[in-house]
Amino acid sequence: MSDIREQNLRDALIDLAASRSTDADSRLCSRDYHPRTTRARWPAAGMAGTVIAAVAATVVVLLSSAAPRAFAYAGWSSLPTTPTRSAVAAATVWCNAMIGAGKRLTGNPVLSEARGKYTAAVYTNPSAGWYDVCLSDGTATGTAVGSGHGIFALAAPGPDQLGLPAGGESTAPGFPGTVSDYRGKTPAWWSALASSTGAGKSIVPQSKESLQATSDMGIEHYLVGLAGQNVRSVRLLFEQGVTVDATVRRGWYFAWWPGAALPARIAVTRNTGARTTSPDPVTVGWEQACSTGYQQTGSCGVFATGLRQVTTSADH
Amino acid sequence: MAGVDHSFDRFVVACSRDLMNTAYLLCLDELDAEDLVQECLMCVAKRWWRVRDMDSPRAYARRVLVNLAIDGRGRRSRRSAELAQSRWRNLDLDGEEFEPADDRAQAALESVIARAPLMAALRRLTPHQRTVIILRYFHDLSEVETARALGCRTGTVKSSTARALARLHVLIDPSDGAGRASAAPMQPGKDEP
Repeated sequence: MSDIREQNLRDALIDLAASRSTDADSRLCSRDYHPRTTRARWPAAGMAGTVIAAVAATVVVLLSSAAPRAFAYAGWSSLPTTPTRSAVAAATVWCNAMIGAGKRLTGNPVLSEARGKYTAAVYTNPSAGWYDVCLSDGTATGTAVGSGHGIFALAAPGPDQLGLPAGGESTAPGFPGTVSDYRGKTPAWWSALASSTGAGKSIVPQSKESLQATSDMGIEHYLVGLAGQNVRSVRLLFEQGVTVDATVRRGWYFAWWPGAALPARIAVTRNTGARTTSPDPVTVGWEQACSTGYQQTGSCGVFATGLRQVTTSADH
Repeated sequence: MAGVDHSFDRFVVACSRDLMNTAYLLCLDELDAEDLVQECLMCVAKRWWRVRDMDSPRAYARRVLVNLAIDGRGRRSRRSAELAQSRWRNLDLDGEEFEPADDRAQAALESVIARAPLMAALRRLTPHQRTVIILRYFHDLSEVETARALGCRTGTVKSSTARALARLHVLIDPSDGAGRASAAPMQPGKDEP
């Protein structure tokens, strides 16, 4: 190609670049990237030992905290709001970047919510049998992704019921990128819930969960599961009167909260206004708890049918 | 306690336009380009403590960008191809189905039509060839600088450039009948019954 043609090519490329919209430029500039300004915290040597110590510390904290106080997540709210579409899109971008090649969160999430500067979105793929929880504050380092499967293999909850939730917890601050397989196991926080309620039954999660979190994410928990068609709202009740409202939409419920505390009870309000609350720590339980192992099908340990109706009132 | 470091924010403001331009030429799709730049900035942010002291953080970011584009060519090119196809279906290049509302719309349409052969031809290049062309002729990098950005040999840049220019010549040159025939499949709208 002659020099003249090469110059034409230069001009054409400049013209082509100039033809794009500049909206993205301002979006890119408006985000808070939280760049890492110091060397990574974990030295390569002794990494394994450090990881083990971090996990152990996490468990200790999980079991010792009583209520979701002293949240490290500025602006977090126990009452979710509707996020903007751009916020959901931004969160999804960061979560996709974290997931990497092989799978992308695409389409519309089954539900999304905002709590302060954090946007959460739940993406599902029933045919493939997986779901992903995306949580991000729109920065490179304020992002966590929880992935699971198994919920879809279970029978759907009844109209007034909640499906047994899956859940995950992040790791200690500064400890990114763990993968936990709760399948067939009882994670510490479910054990804590079961023991505090005196149910005496082993709650076996029905889904495999994995969670990745970046360094700015501290300890946080989430619950996600299927909700019956008559379920209007779900509220998690912690000790000392702290409550966290879940988002309920399209047959799913979801909530997340910072800190290591675990809910002691769950309140469900139906479309009629009737509210069902797990009555007290002694009698709350899951009537059909699994004995052992991971159940692919059936209703074993699936539904929170142990929740007894204790009040019938207007929605709180 | 040290003050808050805003150097990365300033870097993003200074470089986002340049990175978006490059990403757009690589992806030929604005949404893909924005995704690509965000991935790039995230990578740079993770290493900012080291990148900020480099001679040219901008060059480093551009290198990350082009390598991400080449590494992720599978999923992005598929999505871009789908998007491009859907857009072409809605745009008849002869203007028979599209009635511009005014002179500005007419000018916009003509501009789109004028750029279409180049976009179609760029899509036909391999990601590596497209990247070489953009670095050499959009950024005016030398062969040595292009090789450094891509992490390859200068000879590879020379041969890739020659092959890419030859390919573009065949695809774009109006005097070459074979070129038009080759470019036609990139315009699905023209082929729709």
